[in-house]
Amino acid sequence: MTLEFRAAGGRPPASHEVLLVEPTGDAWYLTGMSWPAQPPFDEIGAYRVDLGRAEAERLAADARAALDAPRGRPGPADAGLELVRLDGRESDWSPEHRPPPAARLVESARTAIAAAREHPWSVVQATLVDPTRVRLVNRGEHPLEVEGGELRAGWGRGTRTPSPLRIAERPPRESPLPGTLEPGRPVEAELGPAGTAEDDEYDAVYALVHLRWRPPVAAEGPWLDGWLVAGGA
Amino acid sequence: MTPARAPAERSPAEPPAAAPALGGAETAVAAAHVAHGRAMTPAGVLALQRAAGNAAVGRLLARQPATVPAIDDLIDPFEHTPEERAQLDAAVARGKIELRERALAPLEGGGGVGFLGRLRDLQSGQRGILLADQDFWARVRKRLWGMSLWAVQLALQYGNRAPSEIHALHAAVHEGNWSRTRDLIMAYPSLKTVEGLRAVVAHRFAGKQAEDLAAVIAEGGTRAESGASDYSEVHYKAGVLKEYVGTRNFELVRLNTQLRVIVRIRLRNDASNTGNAITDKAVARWEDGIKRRWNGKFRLRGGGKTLDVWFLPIFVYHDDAAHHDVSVLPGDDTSSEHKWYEEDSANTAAHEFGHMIGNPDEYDLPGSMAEIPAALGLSDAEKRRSSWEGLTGKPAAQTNAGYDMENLMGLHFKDASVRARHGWDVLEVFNAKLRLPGEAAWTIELKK
Repeated sequence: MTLEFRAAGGRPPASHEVLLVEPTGDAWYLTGMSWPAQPPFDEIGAYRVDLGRAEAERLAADARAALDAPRGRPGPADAGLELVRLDGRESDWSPEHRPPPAARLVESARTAIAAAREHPWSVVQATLVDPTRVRLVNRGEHPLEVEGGELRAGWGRGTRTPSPLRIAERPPRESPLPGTLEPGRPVEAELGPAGTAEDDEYDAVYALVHLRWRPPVAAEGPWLDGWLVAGGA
Repeated sequence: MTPARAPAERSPAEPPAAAPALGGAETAVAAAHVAHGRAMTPAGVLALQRAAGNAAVGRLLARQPATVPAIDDLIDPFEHTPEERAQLDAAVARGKIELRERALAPLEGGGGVGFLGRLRDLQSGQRGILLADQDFWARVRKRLWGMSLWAVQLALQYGNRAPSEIHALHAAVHEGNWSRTRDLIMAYPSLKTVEGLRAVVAHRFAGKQAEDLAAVIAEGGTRAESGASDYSEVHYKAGVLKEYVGTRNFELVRLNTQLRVIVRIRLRNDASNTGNAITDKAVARWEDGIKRRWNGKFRLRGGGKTLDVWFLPIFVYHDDAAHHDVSVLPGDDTSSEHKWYEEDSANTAAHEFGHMIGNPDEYDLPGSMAEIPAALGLSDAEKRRSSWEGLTGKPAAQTNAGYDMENLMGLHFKDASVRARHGWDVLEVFNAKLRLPGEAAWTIELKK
């Protein structure tokens, strides 16, 4: 049975992460927005990795412990949700009140996800060219279907990626995307106005790209929201 | 040699202890009954008190038939002669003078060092005596005025146990922060009776600000607490419809032309913080965001009258009875009603404030009320407020991504404005607790 670990955020634009692990260790990681838990935040898409059977079994053991743990009370919607499915069973909890077995599963899943992110299948990465333009490139090995295209610019600290929720309040520039991002073929687009920094400690411009993308795992589609934050330094 | 006795033994020459005394009192009462054939007289009671002690008399009087004493029957067992009274009065006067001199010594002879500390350390009764002592104040006023004088008044009124709002008010007045002073007085009605507040406000603030604060101190109004209560909501996340919770808690103050919604929010550094995350800059941003998004938007209407709804978020740091506790962490992350991050935007604070006054989230909503499983236990009202159908009046097709409303409680990055329904809980509490006799239910509307 496939193990599913999902992390979903609260207020939009919300985190979206899915880890699917086969008993053999073959795994997909899909993310439409990995902020704030799983850097880097300038990429979205699908990653494919072989974690190995031993790692899959360890994840499954952690998942079963989380499934066996008593459920906590519901949390606030803004905090989002974490969920696990295995062997036809399902459990979920608020990230604000993780039962200890759930916390152990989340830690294991995060390790697996970090390994998966080293293996892009079809992902789009954003790079800030200058404070007015962003470059998008598929750094995976497979084409990625995309649509839409809202591009915003805003301010943050150069040392820390800001909340996409804050930059999302900036006015967007609509920028139609090419439909398919071929691996290694960059496209550039103009950002909306960054305006003035809300705080005198915000010293760097960031791009926030919103698009729709088609995941390679059919059951997760057909289209998912994607939010990328690029810039800083 | 006299042999030593065991402690329980008694010399035949010694009088019996408690038991014979009680027996003597009973005998006295019995004698009184026999003599008068009725309930005891005041003189009899007095005699008995002297013979048997108050406790014994109390036990016996409890068995007496209930009688309403005439005015002449009332006696003072500690009655003093005029000479005794004069001596006592003189002693009290000497005590007051000694207290006054002792209290003033550090101010008048020691350059003020330790003056306030000594006042705070006095017992409550002693502080009360000084508070009412005109001579004390006359001498204090020769040396202190303004904030310093007020500090003395506070020291005497509260000693070392001033409530947290007193410290907050003192800081606000000391800073000359008119807005904070105003908000605190509105949020804590007990502050209106603080010794010296009117005078220090007149001293510390100029012109219209002083006049405004004087008006706030003088204003009345009727108040009602909503009480803390949880509400349930449902959202699609990770493809599944789940229950989530929020907590409402606030206070209403009904004035002639305004309904004030007070929310006392206690900010605490999260236990995991290694430094302070509650910066003045962050608090100012949140307060500004809440007031900007909520104030001047709503009006209550009823019986030909209207009340403007005015929201007052008051951030405090030590009030155990605050309406909401918020844990604050550094940086940016995923905030919720009671967990904020230092860099949260003004709109984020305004959104979370919306929860505090009873509003559920309006994103990732089920298309219809029928989609919400009965097992989740939501009330019909909760289902209405947590579904596309309930908010728009029309059901939408089921989707495991849910539907979003574009407003402060939904996709607020697209539209951060409020809707009339975001005042529903305020209206509900108002109608339940603050309607005047004979008033029909009021309604709420957005101001044009």
